[in-house]
Amino acid sequence: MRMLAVYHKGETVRFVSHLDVQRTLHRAFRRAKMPLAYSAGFNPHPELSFASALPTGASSDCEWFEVELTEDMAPEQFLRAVNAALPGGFFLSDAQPMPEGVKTLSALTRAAEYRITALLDRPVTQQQAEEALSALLSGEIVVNKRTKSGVRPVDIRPQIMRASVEGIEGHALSLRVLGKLQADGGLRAELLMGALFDRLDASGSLRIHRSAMYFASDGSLPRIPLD
Amino acid sequence: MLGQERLDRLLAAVEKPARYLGGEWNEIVKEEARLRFALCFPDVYEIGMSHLGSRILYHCLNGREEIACERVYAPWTDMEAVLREAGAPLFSLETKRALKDFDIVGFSLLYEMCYTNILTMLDLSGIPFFASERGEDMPLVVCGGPCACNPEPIAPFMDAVMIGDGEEMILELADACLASKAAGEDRQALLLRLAGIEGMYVPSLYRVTERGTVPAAAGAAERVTRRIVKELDGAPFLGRPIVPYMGIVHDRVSVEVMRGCTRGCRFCQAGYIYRPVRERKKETLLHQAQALVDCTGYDEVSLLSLSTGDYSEVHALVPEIIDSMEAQRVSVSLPSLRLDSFLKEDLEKMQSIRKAGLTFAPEAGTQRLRDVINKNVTEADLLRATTDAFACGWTGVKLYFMLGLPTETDEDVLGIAELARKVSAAFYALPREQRGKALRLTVSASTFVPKPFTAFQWCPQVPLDEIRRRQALLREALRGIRGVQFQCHLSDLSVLEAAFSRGDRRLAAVLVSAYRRGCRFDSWSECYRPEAWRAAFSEQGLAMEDYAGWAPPLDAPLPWSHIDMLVTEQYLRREYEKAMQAVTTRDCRQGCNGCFGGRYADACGIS
Repeated sequence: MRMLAVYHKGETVRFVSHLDVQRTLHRAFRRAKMPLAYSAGFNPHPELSFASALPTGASSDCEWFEVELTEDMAPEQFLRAVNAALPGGFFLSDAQPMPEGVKTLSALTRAAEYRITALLDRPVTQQQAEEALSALLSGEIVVNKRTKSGVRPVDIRPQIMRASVEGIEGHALSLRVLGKLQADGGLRAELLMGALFDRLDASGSLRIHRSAMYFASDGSLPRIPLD
Repeated sequence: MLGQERLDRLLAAVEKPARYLGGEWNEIVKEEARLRFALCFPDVYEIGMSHLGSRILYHCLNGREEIACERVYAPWTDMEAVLREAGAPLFSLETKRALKDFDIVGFSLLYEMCYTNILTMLDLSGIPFFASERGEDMPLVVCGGPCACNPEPIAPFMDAVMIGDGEEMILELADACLASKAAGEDRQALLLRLAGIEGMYVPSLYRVTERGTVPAAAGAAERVTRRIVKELDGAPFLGRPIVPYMGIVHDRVSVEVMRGCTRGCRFCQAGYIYRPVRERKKETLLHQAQALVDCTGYDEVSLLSLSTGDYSEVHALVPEIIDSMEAQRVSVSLPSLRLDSFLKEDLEKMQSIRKAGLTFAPEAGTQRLRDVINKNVTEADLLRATTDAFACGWTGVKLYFMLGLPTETDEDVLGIAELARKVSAAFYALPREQRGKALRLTVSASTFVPKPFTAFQWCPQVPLDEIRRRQALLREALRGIRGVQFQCHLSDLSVLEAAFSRGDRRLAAVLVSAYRRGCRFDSWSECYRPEAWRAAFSEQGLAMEDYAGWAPPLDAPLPWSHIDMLVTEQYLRREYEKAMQAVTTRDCRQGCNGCFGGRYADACGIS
């Protein structure tokens, strides 16, 4: 069976890379004695795939993935066994059999919501932050994006579906952003924040948390909420 | 302890934050403890976590409820810069504590070229380098591991040095510290306690004279005798080992099949300093492998020893372990097989799991030189083993040699190319359908480094220019041989390695000077700074070439003569003399050669 589930990645493990997360899940499945299905071929690997790769440094409550098992299993049993075998900072939820007709998760991925906290090096008022954000959203947002072929300017405005300032507490500015997320890429929240920092003439450190992921599907996968 | 927010800022600024995270599966965290032990490895996480010995010690120490043992690795240069900029101390992975807040700071010494990293780790912790400069409020700084057998270059930094197997000794060290704490003793009283532990060397209780290093205080033994675990089968092993997040160098379950080697290769320090051979029972190994796979989730098991093919039950163990692991999708690797103990059945079994590269180590190019070094394998052994491997479908084979071995001539160097030519011909002589398409035969030639406690401890290293000439000679001779790739190592570094491996106490000041000049991670070619090292040597009025090229008389006291590694100096001298006449010594499984001079018959099943 194909088991669909969500992994959560907490504060203490947010610097574990996506590749290392894959390995961590694989080993946890093995420790939990899950009946993993393996690919055929020279170097067999478990059939484990993700809706999206979470950037290193971000935490999340919504990392959907699927894993193929050679036997049917109750989702609760899967959760109980694997959660007992995961290192601190990780846990699974929302396990369910993969809905009929879904080929790959990543092909259905459409958007994600981010909760972002920026610790600024200088105080900013809520009004200043809101004005800067709405000015930013009113036109193109050209940032320098590092790609395989070097650094090149990209307009990230089309990737932003919604963005709002949630509040300011001391030097901590909170934002909520809904950005596109698809197999071929999506919004990089840190690029948006870099542009906002420039506009505010401030700098600071970032905490990015992915709070929800949305799909194009009729099944049980979450869909993009309407306004 | 470093708070999460401050830690996050450090982690966000480095290239590989996973090195400093901790929190892995099976990590042991103790909030309360009567004794805190920082188990330090002077290299990066992915190398330190691959070291079996320190992981055994982690299990031994944490097995005691009142002791908290935490890991600390050398910060890579980016993290070092970030720590300095933030004014933050180097911290442990388990509780993010500064080294200063531990009772004992212990370093594992696996190779000489990591010594500058010891200084980085102490420096970032505000701990003075020299034991004599550390006050009562400072942790006890100790070390152990194979390089500790010649402790002199780092002796002035160490309060105590553990010589030999650590499983039992490290708990005696911890107990002595606990007892000393309870009694309210000062540092000096603790050091005297430590000097009473078998295998423990306390450098401050000795002084260097013309007659060698001699006791300078009551309670210091004439010679420090290496500690051994007599019963390996019952010795503690890994328990529930930590499973790292990031990929590490040896990312698999390891079981230690045996300790020690009976072969007696004359250049090989490990072959001398881990004697006698002690084995674990086959049942113990099968049980350990299964328990380790279960608690880690790893899908590869490695059978570790200096020469796994010599394990008395190897031909029962290998098929049994492969059979029991296969159904669980766990592969089995045997990293140290010798040419002459290598059987086609082993190859066929290994092939059913995974086809990794094969490495064979003839070490020298002619039979004469192989007799000098007592590497008792023949050209016929090599051709049989490689032909078998080719017939089983292997196409990638590596042959490992050393250049600059004692008595080496151009004929021996050219002999390497001759061997490679024959191996290549053996591949292409097989019918096309019985072998792979194209051969990848890697010929690797490293530079010989004379090591203490070997038959070659009196031998000078061949000067660098001459090594370069021999490398060029070999490269030329290998040209045109089908499928051959030549690899030779950065030979300049081997001069430094030679200096430190047979070095004396004067090198401690050189180390500090080199460290101040920015030397770090010297075994990493991108970090190695030869000009800084040369300046550091000359500042002390020394030259690394003088150390590397040192040829002491056979009866002179050596900087490590006060350490008794069990194999006697008379035996090593006899081996040296036989080497010079190209006379071999039998494998001691065929009969005792008397290397311990009649002692320790109870520990050695052979004598």
